[in-house]
Amino acid sequence: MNKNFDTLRDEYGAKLCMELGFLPTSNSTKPLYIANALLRESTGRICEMQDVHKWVVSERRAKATPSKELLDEFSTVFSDSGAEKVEELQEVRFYLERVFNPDSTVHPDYTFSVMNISSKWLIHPYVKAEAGIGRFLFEILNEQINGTSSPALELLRAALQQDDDDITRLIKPIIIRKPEAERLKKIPLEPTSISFNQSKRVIRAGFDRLAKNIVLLGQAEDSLLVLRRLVCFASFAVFFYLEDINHTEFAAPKIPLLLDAGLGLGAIESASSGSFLSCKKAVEAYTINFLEKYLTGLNGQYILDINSKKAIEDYINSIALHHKKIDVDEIRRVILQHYNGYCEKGEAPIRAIARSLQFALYTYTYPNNTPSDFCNVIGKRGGLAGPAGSAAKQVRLLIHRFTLENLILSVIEPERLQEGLELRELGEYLRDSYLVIIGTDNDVDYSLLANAKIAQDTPENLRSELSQNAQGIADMLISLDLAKRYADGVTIIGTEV
Amino acid sequence: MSNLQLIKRLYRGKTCYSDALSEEELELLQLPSGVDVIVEQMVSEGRIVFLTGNPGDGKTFIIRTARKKRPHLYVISDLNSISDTQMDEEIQRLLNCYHNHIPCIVAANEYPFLSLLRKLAAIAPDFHKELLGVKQNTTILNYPTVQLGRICVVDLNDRSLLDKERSIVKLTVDKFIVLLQDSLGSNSYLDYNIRALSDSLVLQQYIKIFSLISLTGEHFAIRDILGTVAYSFTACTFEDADVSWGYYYDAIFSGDNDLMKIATNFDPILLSKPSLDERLWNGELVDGWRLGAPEKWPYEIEEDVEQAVNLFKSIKRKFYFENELSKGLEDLQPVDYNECEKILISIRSKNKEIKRRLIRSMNKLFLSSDMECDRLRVWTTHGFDLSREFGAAVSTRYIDGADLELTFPEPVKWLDRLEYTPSYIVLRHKKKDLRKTYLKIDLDMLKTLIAIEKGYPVALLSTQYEQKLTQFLHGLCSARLAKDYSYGEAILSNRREGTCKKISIEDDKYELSVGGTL
Repeated sequence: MNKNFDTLRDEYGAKLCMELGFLPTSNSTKPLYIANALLRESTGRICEMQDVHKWVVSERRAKATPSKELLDEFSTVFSDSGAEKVEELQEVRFYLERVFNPDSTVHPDYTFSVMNISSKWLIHPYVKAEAGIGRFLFEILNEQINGTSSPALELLRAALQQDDDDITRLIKPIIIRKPEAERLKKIPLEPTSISFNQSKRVIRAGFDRLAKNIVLLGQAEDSLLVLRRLVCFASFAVFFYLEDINHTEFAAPKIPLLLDAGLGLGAIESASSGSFLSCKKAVEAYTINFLEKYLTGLNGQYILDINSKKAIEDYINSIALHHKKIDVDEIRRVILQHYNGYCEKGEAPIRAIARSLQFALYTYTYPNNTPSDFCNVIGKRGGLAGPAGSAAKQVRLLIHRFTLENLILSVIEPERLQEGLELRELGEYLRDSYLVIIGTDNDVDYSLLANAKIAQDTPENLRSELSQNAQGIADMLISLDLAKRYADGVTIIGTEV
Repeated sequence: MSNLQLIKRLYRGKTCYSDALSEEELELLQLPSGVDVIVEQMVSEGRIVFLTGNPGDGKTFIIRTARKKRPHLYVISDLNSISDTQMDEEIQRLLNCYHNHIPCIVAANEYPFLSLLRKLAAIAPDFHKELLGVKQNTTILNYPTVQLGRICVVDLNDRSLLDKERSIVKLTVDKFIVLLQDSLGSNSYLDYNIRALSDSLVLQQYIKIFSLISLTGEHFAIRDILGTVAYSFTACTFEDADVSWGYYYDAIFSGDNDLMKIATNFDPILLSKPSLDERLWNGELVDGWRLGAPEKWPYEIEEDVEQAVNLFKSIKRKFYFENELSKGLEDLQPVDYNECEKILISIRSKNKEIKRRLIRSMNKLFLSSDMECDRLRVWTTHGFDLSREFGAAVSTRYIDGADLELTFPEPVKWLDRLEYTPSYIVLRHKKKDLRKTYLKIDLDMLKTLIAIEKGYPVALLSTQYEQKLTQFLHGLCSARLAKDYSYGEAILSNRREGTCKKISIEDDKYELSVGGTL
């Protein structure tokens, strides 16, 4: 065995990520990386854009190519190269950096950089921060349901083919320096081998409805909007999968996702924060359940008897550990200490080891990049959680207007959206699809929060604030021209209201 | 019941309305409405009239009026009260009316109407299609898309009874003054209110408050309006009346219905002009009072500051309504509301000028230093991280202002007697087949654009209008209606600093030194 082999990372962590379908162990995963991953998998193409990258990294960055060098190297892209001044190019590059690096994903090293994607020309090869999400999502979208893949795939591909948008126009003179065949490369795509579970079905249905509603709204030709909508939903889908998988695979209770409309309602903020926290805990619980299941599979092989405290203790003592900074004996000691502690509390030995290994995974293997941290980052950047910024105290499901709109377009069939539906019905759709609650039905929503042990920890007025929150959500929809409120308080959602 | 009691009831709760009033009382409260004429015409032509709207919108009044002429007219007066089993029978009756040219009236609140639509979709698709089409096209942008057939819909949500031109406030005040004559002498405040609201200046200022309320974009049922006017007159006669709200100018800002809650946003006490305030406090302003100067001034109350402040507030309101010099104070009402009103009033006569102003504000949304008003720039902001604002924008094309039209929805021809005020205006391309792609500028967005025009920092605004505008512009781009700037010009905007850089991209070549300002 490799002397650097670490059972925590290379066995449990790897199996966990394989089981999940992606690696939720990076806090640097951003929506643009998800976009890059999803779009690359969807088209099966990448684009070589080192030259554009040189332009986009402005001279305020270390290791940037000096503008003077660029003027020489790219002399053919200027109408009158002699007249161009270095200062002008420096200024232009400063602006280009703002346009192509809005999410701080462009670094001086091209290999790790992803530029803002507006068309097929900007799709980059795999970067680590994608965390395998592209493949995960593509498999869901490409699964043949009733003989067809998701209409979202066609929309994405068509949107990427359009390259006359303002963003791509800015770099066209550089792009055409090389023939298309030299720029665009096919990437080998493995055949999909998806195991479709209920969470994936829900995500797929959401993508399908969103795609159909984009067409209904007449927005299919607006390529940038199509990309933004579908990537926004993709971010939500990843978050949803992480928080829902424990329910799907291990029958754990579903978590109600209370969206905060941002009205500053104390009880809502507290409960929504509780929802968000429960999501993160669900990921931890899933890790424990997964480890228990996985270790149970080792029964009779590496673990002599999973019901024997001693046998499991022996197993812990036998596993290979490796850590760059911490003494492995110390890690093993902590695992054993936790294991014994859980056993003393009456946990079954197999459960106790699963718990102690989850703790070790989160503490030593992913100290700053746990799946829970991943939820935090993807939730905030995807417009599902907020407030933004690492200093925010009460992070909650403070929904962004754009994310809300996409969520709604992902739960309602186009026909129903045209005909119109009442706010309370929208609440039902959101609950049925994702257990997202907005406060449209006080009793139902409150009891969901109470069952999830969220309501109990919030101020007393949660019940009354739920309906105020629903009105706040309705206000957001009204401002998006997606709803109309009538004087008796009825709000009708739809495209023709 | 005396007229005073009848009017007082109008403010009290929702159960005191048309269903609970006698024919005689209803007759007393009857206000002429264009809707009555529309309904009468539609019924006489054998149509099925759907009256949609909210509780308190006056459906029962309208039905009673229609029934006076046609006692045997088939009417479903409240769809909400019909059980599921009865509903099937009612639908069959409706279909019978539909196929046999029998007129009828169906009154429905919004949700029951939606439920009916869904049932009809399954049972009677033709009826459903016609009804849905008419319902969705009661207001139009310039030309009708649906022909009137057997069914018509009068949506009382579209009825605006508050703005200056359509206001029923004057009619209501006049009616109440007549009705309250028999109570004169019973209460000195009431006597004063009747006298004051008979004065033209006072009435004008009173109506102005309602007009400002109408600019909030909220829909108020006729019940709320009658209740507010009723309370203005009669607050002083309620058993639990606080003497400090006895006068109409205090009462209108003291009641608790939805309309009066909104009215508090326009309470004159919120308008401040230090020199005026000082004179009002010190009792130095003795000219211009139409109904006599205040008998007591705040400075005279030395022992109780709170009492003095309350008196000051009351005097300030009195000044706003009753003093001939109050114009200066009136001008202090929120600028965006005043401007909004001016735009809506003059949208026909100054259409081009308003369009240019709005185009400039829209351009400023993306580049605060941009003064362009003849070309609506197509700005592109793009990114996927929703926790960040877009700091940069790019524009390589524009829509010619001359190709855009600024218009507003109007009722379809057969509803032209409806008291209608648009709650939004529309910017769209003149090309006919693209008329479904339009920018709906509601009153909030209009106020935002006005604020930008006045120099309000865009960074402090919500991004919602940016998203809306971008979608509209890109919709036009997708339809190939945007034009490239001359010489392949491209503008890169640094939105945080309000600066920009122009370059030229022509024949796939860059020119970085493009002169000229925006």
